[in-house]
Amino acid sequence: MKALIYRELILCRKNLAMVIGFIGVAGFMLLVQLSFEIGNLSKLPPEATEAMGEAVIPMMLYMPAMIGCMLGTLCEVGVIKDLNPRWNRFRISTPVSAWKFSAARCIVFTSASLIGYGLSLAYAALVCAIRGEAFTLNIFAVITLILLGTTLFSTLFQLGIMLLGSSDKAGIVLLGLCMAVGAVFVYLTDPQNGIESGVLEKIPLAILPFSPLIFAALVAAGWAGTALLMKRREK
Amino acid sequence: MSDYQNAIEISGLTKKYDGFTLDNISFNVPKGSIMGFIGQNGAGKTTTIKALLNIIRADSGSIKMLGMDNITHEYEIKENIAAVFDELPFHEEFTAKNLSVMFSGLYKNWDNAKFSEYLDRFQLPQRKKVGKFSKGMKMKIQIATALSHGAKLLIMDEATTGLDPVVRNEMLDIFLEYLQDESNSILMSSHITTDLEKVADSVTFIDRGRLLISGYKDDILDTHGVIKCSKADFKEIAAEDFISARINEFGAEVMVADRAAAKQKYSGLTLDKTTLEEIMLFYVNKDKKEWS
Repeated sequence: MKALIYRELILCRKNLAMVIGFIGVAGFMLLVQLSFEIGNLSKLPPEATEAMGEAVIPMMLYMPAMIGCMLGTLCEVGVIKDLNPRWNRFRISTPVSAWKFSAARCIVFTSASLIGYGLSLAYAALVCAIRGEAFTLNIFAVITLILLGTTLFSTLFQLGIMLLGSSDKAGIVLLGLCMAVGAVFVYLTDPQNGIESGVLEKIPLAILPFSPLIFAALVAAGWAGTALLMKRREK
Repeated sequence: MSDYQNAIEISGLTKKYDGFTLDNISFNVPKGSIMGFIGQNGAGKTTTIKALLNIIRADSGSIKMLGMDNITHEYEIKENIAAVFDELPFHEEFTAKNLSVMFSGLYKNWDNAKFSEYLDRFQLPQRKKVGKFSKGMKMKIQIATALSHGAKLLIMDEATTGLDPVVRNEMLDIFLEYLQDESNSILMSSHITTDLEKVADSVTFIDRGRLLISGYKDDILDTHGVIKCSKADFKEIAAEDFISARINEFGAEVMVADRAAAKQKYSGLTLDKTTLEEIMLFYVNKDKKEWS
């Protein structure tokens, strides 16, 4: 298994630059926050800083979290490279099952996702500390929900690439799906539709107790789906 | 792995596609030998090899490798065989060093020291990405990985195609060395018949999905011959006595399957020994009977 995990890491090593992306975005957001506290932005009139703060704070907290939680998408490079029929013929000729190859990919994906999740939580705690605010259960719940969402997206994308044989096709299908979900979200947040305000804000906390189970189920689905698609034979 | 007589036993193998059928293929590769699997492009060699390796599912027939059924004992068989393809199957960013780590996880009997020895012998760099290797180097690294985990059977699909004569010769020497261990066997598909004439113990000819002939190479070469005669003399040769005939403006070349009998019956005609390439050509045109 170690050797298969090593293989996955070799394939996706160039994508480790995503970590730099996270550090870059998080670093920038921290600088913005520091500027609000002690820098140039703190010299603006209080009404202006308050208005800007309300717009910017969610972005400061959650945008790096989105990037961090997507570290698992490192593995998509391996999925795309393994679309090579020459590799697949060789893989089938080895005594290693599709389940093992898939498990190695799954381990790398899960580890990267959880590392990204940990970095996101640490970053959010740091922002709260700078602002002199408590790191609330709600923030934790929203970041956890982001992890679940990015895990779902990544899993579907990987399976889509294997099923459709192309990252472009999988991307188009997933984009359509995201747009559909977005449309539902817009509908639900429109007060004219009679949705009680504050309902959506309660969703992260409601899901939080189940999140380990949901995450495990998504990872298991990714593992099984990848293995079953790898087991397909040439026609 | 129990004792076995034949490294590969194929019986009644059939696979249908639109426009092509691998039709009832049966042959054996005796243990300790090299079988040359000969055919034109599109004859069915790769399809047969894919069926052996379970890359495709056959429609019917049975396959045994190393004495075991290739479906029920799939992983046990694959632990003891190595497949070498015409093109490098490894991702281009891997180096030989990366491959040795990867292979140590693929095969229980992976021998890193042996792999390093082959790298030295083939003068392959350890830290250069395999994507930057020449064609000959890519084949050498494949062979090095194939020979470094104690495989009892090598299955090679057009492995020497596209290589220069020097590298091909080097590869053939390696294969003969591999067979010094009498428990090792090789199935080698190729349309370069000169290579197989040098190393093969037995040959199987396939054309358009059908088996034409299979047997020991020396027997096939000894029993077959080519009568070279005029067109007028050709008319005296009975149709059942020859496989096919190549007719040109100067005369006829007639392939016979029983050289001794032909020598007796057509003693006035020139009868020469033949080559595997000629045998392939004449058998491929068997249905036409006369061709040019």
